[in-house]
Amino acid sequence: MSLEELVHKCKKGERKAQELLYRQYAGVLYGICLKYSRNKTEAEDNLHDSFMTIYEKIGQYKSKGSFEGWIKRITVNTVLQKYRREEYLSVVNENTPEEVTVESNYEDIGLQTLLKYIQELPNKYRATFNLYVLDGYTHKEISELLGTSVGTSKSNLARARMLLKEKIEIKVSQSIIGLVIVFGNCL
Amino acid sequence: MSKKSLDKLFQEKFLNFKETPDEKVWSSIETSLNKRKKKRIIPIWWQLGGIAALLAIGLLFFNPSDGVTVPEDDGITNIEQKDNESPANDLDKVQKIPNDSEITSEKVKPDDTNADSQIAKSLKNKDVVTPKKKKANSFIQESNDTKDYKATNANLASQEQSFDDSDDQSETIHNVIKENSKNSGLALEESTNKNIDNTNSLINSTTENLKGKEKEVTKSNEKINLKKSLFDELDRKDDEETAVVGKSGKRWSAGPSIAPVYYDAMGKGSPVSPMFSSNSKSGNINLSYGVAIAYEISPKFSVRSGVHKVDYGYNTNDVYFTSSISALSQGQISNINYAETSENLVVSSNNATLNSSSKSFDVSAKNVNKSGVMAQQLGYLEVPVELSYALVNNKFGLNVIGGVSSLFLVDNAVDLTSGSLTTQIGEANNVNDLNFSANFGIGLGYQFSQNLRLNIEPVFKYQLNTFSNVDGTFNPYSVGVYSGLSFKF
Repeated sequence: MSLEELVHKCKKGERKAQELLYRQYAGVLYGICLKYSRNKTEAEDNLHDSFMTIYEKIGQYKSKGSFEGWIKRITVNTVLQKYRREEYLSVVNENTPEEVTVESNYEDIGLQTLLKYIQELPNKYRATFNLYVLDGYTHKEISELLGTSVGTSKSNLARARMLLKEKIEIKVSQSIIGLVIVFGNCL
Repeated sequence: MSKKSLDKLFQEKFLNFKETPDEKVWSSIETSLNKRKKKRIIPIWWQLGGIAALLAIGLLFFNPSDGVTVPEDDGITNIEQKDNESPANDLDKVQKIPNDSEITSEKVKPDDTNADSQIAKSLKNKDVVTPKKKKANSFIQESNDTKDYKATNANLASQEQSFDDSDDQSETIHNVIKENSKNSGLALEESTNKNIDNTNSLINSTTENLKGKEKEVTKSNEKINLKKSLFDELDRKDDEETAVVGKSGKRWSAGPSIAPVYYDAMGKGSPVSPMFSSNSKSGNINLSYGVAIAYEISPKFSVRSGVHKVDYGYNTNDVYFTSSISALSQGQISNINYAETSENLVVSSNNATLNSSSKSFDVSAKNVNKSGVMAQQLGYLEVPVELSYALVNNKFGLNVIGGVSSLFLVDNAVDLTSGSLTTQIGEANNVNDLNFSANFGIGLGYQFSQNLRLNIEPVFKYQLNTFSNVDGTFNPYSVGVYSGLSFKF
């Protein structure tokens, strides 16, 4: 079944088509939900809500532009909306460095660990980091999405980076200490 | 040790990141979808019902005979009606006709005094025809009417101008007269008279002008009418084409239907017992619901059927009852099969009869007889076979419906209600298991899309053989406003 046909059938509310759509895109959208949510359970809830919104609004999709892009935006918006009311972080206007660097051997850190670090970030930091770094939104777009100013968005991003860097470095130093202990025991 | 951008680290790791969610997510989505489907049926129904009711009222009040409205006609009709009143306004209306726009696109300025130049402008404008409009007018051009109708508009323009001119002239005349009368002296009398003569001749000439112009207007109207009929012809052709396209594939339609049904009877008899013939009776309103299907034989005719559950009920008022030992032997109504719990019940149309004929159980009570209402309830499964003829078959539809219904008896009860107490007496034994009704109604419809239509149908159903043994005349009928959606497939 072509995508166009699938979308058309979903517009008509055909259950089989809805399921097929889910099977086709659940992986990508669940990935988004995992990044933007605090944990797996919330990500599942958000995936549920996102698909419900997609089925509800699919009639508004006019086949202009990428369908995947459209459903991704819906998912991001659905998750952001959920956390929007929960937490308003104080505006930080201090000068923070634009680029944060980490040692290149930190690349060994697994995806799941990095995901965990993202999930542990406060809501607005997490949202800003995901939107800007991973999904290519501009600060202007982020400020509109999150209802903040561009300055706040920038400072949120910087804070997010610092927190992530700290987490990564702690993780690495813990690993080194662990290795040293293991090595010491061996001796 | 080399440094690496944190952003880059994350971007690389999360490139094309996807993960398969647990199967329970789909289950919960499916459950939510099912719930939403159920929830939505009623609100949409009510919303649509509301819209339909408004549309139906609007249709009845503003356009009872014909649902077709051709906006283009309005302007033209108004010209005909108000021609002699205000030509300038009419011209504006002519300008509103889309297909004339290339000619009348330049609005005639009332203050412009040069009619000829106006005509020239109009004629000039008529040559400016966009390709699209040319296409739209092709039919007319083929009929060699273009010239006439362009000229007509030019005439109209000059016509309107002349009216304005003549108005101006009359005003000037009046002013001259006024001024002259102000300055009236014997010395000036002669010159004034001359002026008046002149003005009279001017008035005459302008009146002649007006008459001439009126004729022209009439002529131009005729031509506009001709144009109108050509456009109508085009529209009609288009309609026919769309009708053919619309009706080529899908002939079947089906959908739910629901109706409040009022049941009552003509005649004074009582199907329960002759003794209740003189009692007053009142009809009840019940709900009928079911599924209707229709097959389109031709664009105008369709055959309809379906299955509906319908309850009919009517009350026999002011009946008296008591419980008595004599009930079993003599007091029972023969047309009712008494329920076990009601075997001692004696019902009568009149208090006195009840006292003399029965010996009450309840000897301690001061007034042993109670008054109440006897309600007969009949439930049927109705299968109608009806023919519908479309008087108007557009976005709004108007149909005449006629047919018969077979009614299969499924519920049958006679209840007695006194105050807040209700007891079942039993069931009537003179109700036929199969009953027929003759149906006649009017259907109003609104086409939401090619496949979805809303119907509101007030239908009168005359029951032919509800009861097998009726004393006196008791001819039941029902009136229901059947409304529902129908989906074409």
